[in-house]
Amino acid sequence: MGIPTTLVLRKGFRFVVQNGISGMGLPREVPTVYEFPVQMFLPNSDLTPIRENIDKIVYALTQWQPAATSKGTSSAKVTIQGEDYAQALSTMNFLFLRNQWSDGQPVLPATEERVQWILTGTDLAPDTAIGKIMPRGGIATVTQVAVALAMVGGRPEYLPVLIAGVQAMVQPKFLLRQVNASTCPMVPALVVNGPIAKQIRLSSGYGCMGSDPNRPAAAAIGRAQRLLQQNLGGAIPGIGTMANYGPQRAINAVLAEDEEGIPEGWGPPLNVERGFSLGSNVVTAVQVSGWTNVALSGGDADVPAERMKEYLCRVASFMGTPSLNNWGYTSNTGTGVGVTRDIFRPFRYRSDDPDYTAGLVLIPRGWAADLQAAGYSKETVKAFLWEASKIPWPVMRQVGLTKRALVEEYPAGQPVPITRSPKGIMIVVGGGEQSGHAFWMQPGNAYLATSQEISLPRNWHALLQAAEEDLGPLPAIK
Amino acid sequence: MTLEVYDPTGAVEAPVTFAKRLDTLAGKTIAQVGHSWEAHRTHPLIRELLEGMYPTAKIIPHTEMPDYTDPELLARSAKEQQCDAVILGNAS
Repeated sequence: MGIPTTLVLRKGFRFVVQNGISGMGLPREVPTVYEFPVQMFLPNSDLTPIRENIDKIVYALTQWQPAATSKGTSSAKVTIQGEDYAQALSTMNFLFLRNQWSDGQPVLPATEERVQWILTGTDLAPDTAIGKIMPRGGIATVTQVAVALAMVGGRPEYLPVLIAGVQAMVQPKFLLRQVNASTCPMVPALVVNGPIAKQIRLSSGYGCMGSDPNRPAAAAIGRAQRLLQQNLGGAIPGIGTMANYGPQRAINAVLAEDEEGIPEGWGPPLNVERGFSLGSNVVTAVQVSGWTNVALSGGDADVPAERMKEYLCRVASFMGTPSLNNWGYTSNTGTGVGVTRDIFRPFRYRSDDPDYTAGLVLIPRGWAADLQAAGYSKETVKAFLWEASKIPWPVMRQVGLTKRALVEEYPAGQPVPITRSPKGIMIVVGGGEQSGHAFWMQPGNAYLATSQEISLPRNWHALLQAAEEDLGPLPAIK
Repeated sequence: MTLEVYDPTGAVEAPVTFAKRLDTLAGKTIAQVGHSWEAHRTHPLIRELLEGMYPTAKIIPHTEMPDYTDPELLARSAKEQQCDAVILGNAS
């Protein structure tokens, strides 16, 4: 802005703010000289710290000076010595832990040879800048992405998916600075559509939310993605990311849609819903902050259609949990006494955005088939879930969320839907053939999904052939 | 045995410098920004204290400024309102 600015900083958030300032292209410093206690920002708090430190705010606007006026670092290499490879590898891992460069798990050495091998997975020039990983603003060059993949034992054929995932994440509307820094524990989940998923052994079936020896792609891509969030984005727990819990940090959440498992005529796969052609290779990034399994066995009704309703209501009951995390109409941040509903009007753009996503429902192919047999299409499932997950106004009042409902559309007293329309509910088929469970992934405090088409290198088939030789034939497990 | 590996933290650009600080807040226009975490209590108190220290300063309340969630809109608004300084909050 070119205007001197200071912050009313919360104790413990200095590094988070440093990252944010770095991401804006400024030296990694914070123009403040005081951190206010956390308790001061709670309802009915004692505001004495402001009275006692108002001079610090004045100082920050009139006298504060940065230690540096400019700063730039470039990618470098590190040399590690050891009596043999095993010792050098061990020494490297200790160094990486001390420098906060690994994720706490052992990493492989990103040597020139290994990185060059990974880089055979793209036709992009190694120094191509894909974007900045916010909030710190580390530049995600193709090489840096390959370095992350090399560190986790990734393969060249995974690189196109990871690059597309990064391209999706760095789109401004994905709010990566928020995803990476917030106290809300968000994971940028990647859903992959298209033939590439099967080609690189990305799981869409059993255990698709976890690591898999038969399908190692998801764990490698997700772990590399997380390393990029940490090493380029600054998302180190308690320092750069204040996520209270940080679940799924180890491998994030990377999965494919089970496109073959979508019943014929049931509804389009996610990539088509997102505006791409059927059969296109696409990554969709959607941030999620929590997930729960929903059991779909047993029930009161004997008639299949009624039983399906019961199951849909079970999913909807989780979706309609009145948490701030599925309350995306408005601001992400805490309200307070005295705040009116009108104050959130400026934030309504989020729910107006066609990319607005109120959460992701994973449906195994078996249940998708049952739903279709009971007369439900993907569209009518969304409509049912939208209606059934509305939150009764007394519950809204009980949990203190009435100020967040848009005044004009959801008048006081009426049940409030979790998103403006059923289109805001994302449904993906995945999780295997059995129909006994569904999976609900709630959003965090950023709500806009992004998608990116995946670019394959000219040597794609040679890479797949090499993978076949290295990994052997894929077991015939769905 | 020598292992030469890439530094995984990559490069960061810092082409921008911090804005020059003001000589005084007297006579200046200062905007308050941010609606979160008891902003309706902290910002007014800061405003009251600053107005006491600098009676000629003009403090624009946070309710008259866009939130920091839209940085471009915020920057445009700050310039349109001829702000000399910004106090950003709350509890960042």
